[in-house]
Amino acid sequence: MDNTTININRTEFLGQTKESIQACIDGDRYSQSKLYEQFAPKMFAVCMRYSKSREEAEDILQDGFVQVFKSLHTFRFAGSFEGWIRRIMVFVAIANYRTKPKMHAVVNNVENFSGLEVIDNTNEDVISMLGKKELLNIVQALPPTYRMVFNLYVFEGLKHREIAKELGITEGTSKSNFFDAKVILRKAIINSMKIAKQSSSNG
Amino acid sequence: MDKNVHDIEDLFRKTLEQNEENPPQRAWDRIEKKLDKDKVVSIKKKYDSLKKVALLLLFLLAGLSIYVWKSQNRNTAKPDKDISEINKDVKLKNERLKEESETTTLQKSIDSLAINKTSNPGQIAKESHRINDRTTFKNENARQTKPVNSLILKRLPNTSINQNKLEVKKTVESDLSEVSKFSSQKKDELIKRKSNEIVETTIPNRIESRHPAFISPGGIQNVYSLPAIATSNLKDVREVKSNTGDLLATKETFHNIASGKIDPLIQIEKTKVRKPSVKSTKQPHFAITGFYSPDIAFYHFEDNDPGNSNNTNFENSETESYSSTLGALVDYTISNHWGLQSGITLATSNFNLESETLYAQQDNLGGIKYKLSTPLGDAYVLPSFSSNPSIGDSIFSKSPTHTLQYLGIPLAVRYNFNQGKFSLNALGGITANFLTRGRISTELKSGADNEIETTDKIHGLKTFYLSGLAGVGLDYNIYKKFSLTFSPTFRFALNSINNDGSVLSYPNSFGFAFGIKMKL
Repeated sequence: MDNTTININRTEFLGQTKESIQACIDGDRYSQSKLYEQFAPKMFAVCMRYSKSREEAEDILQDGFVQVFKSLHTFRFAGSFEGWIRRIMVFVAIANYRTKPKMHAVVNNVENFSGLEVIDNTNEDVISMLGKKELLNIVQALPPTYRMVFNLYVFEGLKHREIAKELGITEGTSKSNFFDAKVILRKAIINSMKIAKQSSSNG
Repeated sequence: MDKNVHDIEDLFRKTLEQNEENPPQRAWDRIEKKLDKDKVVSIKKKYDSLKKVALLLLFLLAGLSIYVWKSQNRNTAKPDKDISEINKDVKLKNERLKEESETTTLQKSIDSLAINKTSNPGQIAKESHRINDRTTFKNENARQTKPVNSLILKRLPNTSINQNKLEVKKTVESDLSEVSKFSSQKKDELIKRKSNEIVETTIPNRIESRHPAFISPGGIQNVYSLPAIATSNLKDVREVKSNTGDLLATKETFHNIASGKIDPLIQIEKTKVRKPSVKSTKQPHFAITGFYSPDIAFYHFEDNDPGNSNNTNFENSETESYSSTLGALVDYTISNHWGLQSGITLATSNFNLESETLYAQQDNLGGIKYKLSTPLGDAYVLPSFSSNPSIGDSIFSKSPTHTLQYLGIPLAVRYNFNQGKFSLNALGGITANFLTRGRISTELKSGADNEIETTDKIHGLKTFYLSGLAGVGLDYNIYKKFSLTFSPTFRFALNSINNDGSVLSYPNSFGFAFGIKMKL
């Protein structure tokens, strides 16, 4: 973490005045709604990644914000406020995952990784062709454990050992699931791009 | 292929990391409803903590009240010495009055005999003999009874019944000695009849009207019940004197009782007699106890960072190594049962944590070090073989341990039951704990390198916390001033020992203290 990052964090949390946070702690509903409005769009996007549907994401968002308001008094103003809220959302998502019955993912042709076509397009091409929403749908379509492992590794930066601890799986399973998740995502991207190309050529 | 795989991670990170999406309005409505419900719960929790404080205050207040009450009783017990002095004075007065009375009675008898001297010389001799006997009997009786009682016995109208009865008995016996032909049965009947006759004529009307219990169903005084009543209540008369101070200690008062102006029985009923508390001769004293207590220590954790699911892991990963408490306690005895206890203790606890991989992070001072999270707080370590790590570098921490040492000053209220050489006690109170040492130690390993790192800097660890204590104890008196003590005690934290970190930790322990007590 360099000095620039630290300065950004400090500026950010200074912008989020202590007074408004204190008002939220005191239960001021207006301040709470303002805080919600400020962070809900970013947090809802996070919740969407960790859930298979919009409804499930809403549940996570709701539980997450309730937890945020209940725990605001524990925030020490020592780091990013947004990061703090985001961590709560992620762990609520993990808790949500843990409460659901575990089912082994049955994914066809995952092992057939070498048979996949090579993506010649750059990332920018994929984004321009598929868009954020399509990529989000692909992530949501992953089996729950794969989705969790992929999100925690790619977006939260956790190590496989930490992921394994959080999800109650072995480190080897975490690595394996991550590898499989990437195969599935790649395959889904190829398919989506094919469809996109076909529709554009037809159009 | 690797390039493509890497691209996928990067693709999703770039695309979705900063993504934003507006949630539906109903999400906020649902949050509001949930917050309203939780508000009620939080208020309840708030009052729960207030209840604990109130209970503690009540406990202290009860202890203080008992102390004050006992102190007041001690003060009221002081007049006992004055009463004993008064008793001595009264005794002297009684003796003087008795002598005067005897002298007067004898003088009257002699005078009356002198009048009939010429008419009946034989009777003079008999009367002189009878008076001598009676005087002797009275003197013996006076020696056996308490001074005040004897005075009242003499003065009270109803007690004259006893004297008259004795007179009658003497008279009849002397008469019967002349009539030797009477059988012993006849003799007893005659004594009884004569006694009843005289008793009937000498019962004062005033007492009869005031004390119906004195009258038998037939309207005749039961002479056998009188001594018991007089004796039992006369004892109380002395108590009246004790409670009314100088009032009954005066000569006039005795005269009033004797002349019937004041009825001591009524007086006793009017003044709610409370026996002066029999104070123990045992004065408040101090005792000092040296003890050592092996403890079973454990922690109660409270989530301080709801977003961190590692919090619950401490409970499973932490195992006690060894804990103990030693110290010296001073007992101050307030009364036979109650006492206060204070002193100084030194409590040490050692815990082992599970081995884990540590990751380099920025500490509070801006340096990059390996972060070790413990239930006490976070500690940062930096081994010499990896003194310049980058954020995210990892190192293996083998069997980390943490040690805490607190200097405690307890204040407890103790209740004692004494039984022979044994003394059983129960105590409860609070302890102020001051941190004297907080240390985390671990062996760091990376490849072939390893090093033991120790740090005293635990972020968030408070230097003071309060704990409650409750326990029972057994003392065995082995010598006049020495006794062995055994006291199982439960200590529980009233507030957390840390104010930062992912969990708030509350140390609790069961201690089995044994030691030696010396009475000072």
